[in-house]
Amino acid sequence: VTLGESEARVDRFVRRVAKTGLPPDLVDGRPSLAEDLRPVTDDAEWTSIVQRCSANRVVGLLAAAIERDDVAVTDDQRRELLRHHREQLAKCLVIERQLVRTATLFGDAGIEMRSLKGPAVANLDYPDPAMRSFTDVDVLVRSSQLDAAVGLLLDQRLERRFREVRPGFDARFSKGVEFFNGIDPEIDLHRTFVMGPYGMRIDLDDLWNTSEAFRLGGRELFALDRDVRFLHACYHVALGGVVARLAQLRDIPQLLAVPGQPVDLDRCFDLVGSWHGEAVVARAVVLAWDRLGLAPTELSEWARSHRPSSRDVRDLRTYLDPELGYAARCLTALAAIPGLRDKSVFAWGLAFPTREYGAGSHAGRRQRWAKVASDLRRVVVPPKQGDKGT
Amino acid sequence: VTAGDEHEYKGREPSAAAGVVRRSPSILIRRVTDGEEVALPLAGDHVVELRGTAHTLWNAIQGESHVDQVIEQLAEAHGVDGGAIAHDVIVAVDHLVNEGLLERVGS
Repeated sequence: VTLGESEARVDRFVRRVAKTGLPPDLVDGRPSLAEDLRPVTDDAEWTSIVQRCSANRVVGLLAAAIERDDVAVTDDQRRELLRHHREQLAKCLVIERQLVRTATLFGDAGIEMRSLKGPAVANLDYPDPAMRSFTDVDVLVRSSQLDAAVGLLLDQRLERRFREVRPGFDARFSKGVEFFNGIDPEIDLHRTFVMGPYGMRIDLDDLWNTSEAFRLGGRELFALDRDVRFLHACYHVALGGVVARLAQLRDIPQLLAVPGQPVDLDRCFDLVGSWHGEAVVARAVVLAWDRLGLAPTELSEWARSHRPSSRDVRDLRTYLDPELGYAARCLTALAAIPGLRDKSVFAWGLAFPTREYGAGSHAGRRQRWAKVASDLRRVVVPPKQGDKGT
Repeated sequence: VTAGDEHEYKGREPSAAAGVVRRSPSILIRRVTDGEEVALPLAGDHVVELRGTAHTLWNAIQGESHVDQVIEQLAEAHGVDGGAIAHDVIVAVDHLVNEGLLERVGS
């Protein structure tokens, strides 16, 4: 047995784990995954499986698969898994505590907040929140309250990961602000889903019109409504910039499969159509279906047949091409900003940031401009033929 | 921190009055298995593993529960005399109260 074969076996196993608990008609019509998840006799291979599940944040799904008798394990294998599971769950609780503290801090200051991603999805969309683990706090605040929220978090001795381009820039144009202090879980304060053109085209009022409540630690928190959570999951998977983890891919069919509370796809298409983000949803659905190996559905067939516009091809490149940087995404974002006045404020801010901005990331303004020029040259180069961008 | 194995409660002295307790609303909790959960009080500084005796006790406390009734309930469920487990249960209650997982709401 070569290392390659073992790795391929581990990969197949873990991808099948990631389907645990999905409706049988999505999992190739089979009610159980038992035939895919044969007992693992090699301890080293089991350790690889647990580690890969951990990296993909699907240890909870592996634990669920074992409880459902989808996979048989030895006592030692079970112990090893539970050790990882316990550790991940403990980290999730610490993150949720940070979320509750943030909600309390903002609530006391009159700042509205929506919990995003992992904690919201785990508590609202999975039959057991232990099935979905996560690593940081993501919250959405209104643009008009972003600066106040930033001030509150700075008062908590959290540091911004990146400085603001110019005063007021974040609240008008940024995705949001990331905070860390090296001890507590990081907080990603969002104004919109993603930076760049697809984030700019989202009508932010659509994110706030409705919500769904859940309770954590005796406190009521609010998440996006399920349809918008589904769209956010798609934006994160499609535009996240790195290969999506299995847990994030799993969120997409999971949100569609919540019993009795289906995602309203007609509404989703209305919303994402107005945001000009159909190519994002199509890319996310294709990625999820391909990586998880799900059975075709009407949605997945639509996604496969979707052909992005030339603008989508260009815009998607700025998220997916690792050689394109911040400047390239900003150039495409500029086109997405409505109104000449806002465009000029955005361009001026990027062209002439404060001296503090970017300190340490480039040797000087000359180097920074060289990088910008390089990115801009790349983004105007037409993509290669056959690149569909999905 | 583990709150679970029965031997942890052996030899400890229980509080004088067990009283009425309830689960603290200010905790975050996750199920690990049918017999184990992990919990973090919002005001706490560590995650507590609930298993064994503590987990059984945890499950027995629904709403406001008098510890005497919990002892009777557990004794009946396990087919033992209440007097035989009273000491361990009261010490376990003390422990969970100290960890911030249970609140005393009356005597």
